[in-house]
Amino acid sequence: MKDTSYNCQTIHQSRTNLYRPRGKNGRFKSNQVRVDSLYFLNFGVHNHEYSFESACNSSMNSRSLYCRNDGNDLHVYLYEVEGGVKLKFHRVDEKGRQDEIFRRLYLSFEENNMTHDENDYYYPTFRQMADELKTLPVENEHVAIDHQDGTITFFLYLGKGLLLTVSKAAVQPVNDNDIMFSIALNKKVMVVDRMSFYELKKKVEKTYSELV
Amino acid sequence: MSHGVYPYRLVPYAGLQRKIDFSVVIDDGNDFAVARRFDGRKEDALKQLSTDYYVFRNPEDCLEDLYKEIPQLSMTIMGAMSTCDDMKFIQHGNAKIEWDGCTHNVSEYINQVSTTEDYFCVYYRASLLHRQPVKYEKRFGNLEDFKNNINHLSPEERNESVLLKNFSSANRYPMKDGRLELDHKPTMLNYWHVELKILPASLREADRLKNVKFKKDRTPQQYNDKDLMVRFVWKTYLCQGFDVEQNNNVGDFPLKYTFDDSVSIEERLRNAEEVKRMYSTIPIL
Repeated sequence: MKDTSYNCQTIHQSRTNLYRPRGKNGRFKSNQVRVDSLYFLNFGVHNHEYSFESACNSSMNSRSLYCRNDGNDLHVYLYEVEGGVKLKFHRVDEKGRQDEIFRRLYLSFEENNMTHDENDYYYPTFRQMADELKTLPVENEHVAIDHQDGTITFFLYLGKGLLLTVSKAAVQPVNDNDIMFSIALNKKVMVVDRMSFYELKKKVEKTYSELV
Repeated sequence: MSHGVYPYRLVPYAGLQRKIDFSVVIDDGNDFAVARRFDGRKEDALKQLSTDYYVFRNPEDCLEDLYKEIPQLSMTIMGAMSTCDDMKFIQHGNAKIEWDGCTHNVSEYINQVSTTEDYFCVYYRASLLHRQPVKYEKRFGNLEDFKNNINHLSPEERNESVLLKNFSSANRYPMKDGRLELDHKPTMLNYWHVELKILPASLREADRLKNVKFKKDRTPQQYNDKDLMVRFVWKTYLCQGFDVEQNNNVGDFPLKYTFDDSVSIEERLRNAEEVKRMYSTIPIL
């Protein structure tokens, strides 16, 4: 079980580093904050023994996770909502205005919780994915978010040279639960496909069982 | 200006094959490693998942940097005569021109080479890139547009109900299969230079996409076929599952088949010695 205090600390660190110095090319000198924050999300999904509630209760109910220079600045706010967490992406223009909501994500931790704003992009399968995939012996993992299209990608290293990459794009319609994934064995990409979570689970388990 | 010694072993000379056919080489069981130089610190950019499994921490950051080069991405053959240390040399001007098969004088390339220290290399096995499939798909704004782009589909897939189902599920449909190809492109100062080409499904398709420019501010709905191809290749093959320079096993895959058999061994050795003599004093910017 992960140390929840670490994750709380991560959020606070993220807030204090919101306006960290930029390099010559205009980018932030380090993206460690972003990575840590996403790890927090990742751990939250994969280890629901503790919840975002417990991690977030220590402070206000909304907070910035990170920002990034992406032409214009992109601010991301984390909102604690019932049964999950909501991310709001605000693009900041040259005058510092950030009233434009660029994209909203809703990560649900309740399997039957379909409550979401009409305009939100919805991830109904994340909880399922977490529950199911954690039965696999994930040796190491990394999660990355693509600010261009909002895709969240999980890199799950299952050992024995097997790497599972799972991407869920934020731009898909609400009811579309297909997932882009690839399975690579010893660096050779064996399967690249787009399918539902259940098909994915079946395929991953089959591949894994053949290996062990 | 500082001076250094350019690694003469990178320089082509008469007696080497003008162009290596990697399909023949790989089919003959001679896998080899290719490397790509990335700016920045390895520790900041990469996440290690196991002893020899790495991913980029933030893949989209590097994708932006590579947009200018892809879909012809420069790489260098490793494990033959070049090493990661050699990647610090950056060729400019005439030095980047494609090699013509002859031995050239060093004076042509004075001030055509600079160096960088802020870089790291990632290694890929050639057989895991060469001739690998590339799937790209187009998103359609409306059903009519979708129906006008289905000529490549089988009759079963053109069935009205199937079309409707696919269109309504995600406003997109898998369109065509492209492929990757490693192309040997020796330059005047680097015989080991290769390009990773992303080839669309057909020549006609390639012509159509040839002049499509990349714009990093495109929204996903505005992605064109070229954007989708490039993103697929980057995320599937290049941003995950590679080696880094300290892994010794990369050297286990040297490239053979580099000599031109029509040139005698004696002449080849003479040319190699001449290149060594000339290039040991090339000034570096």
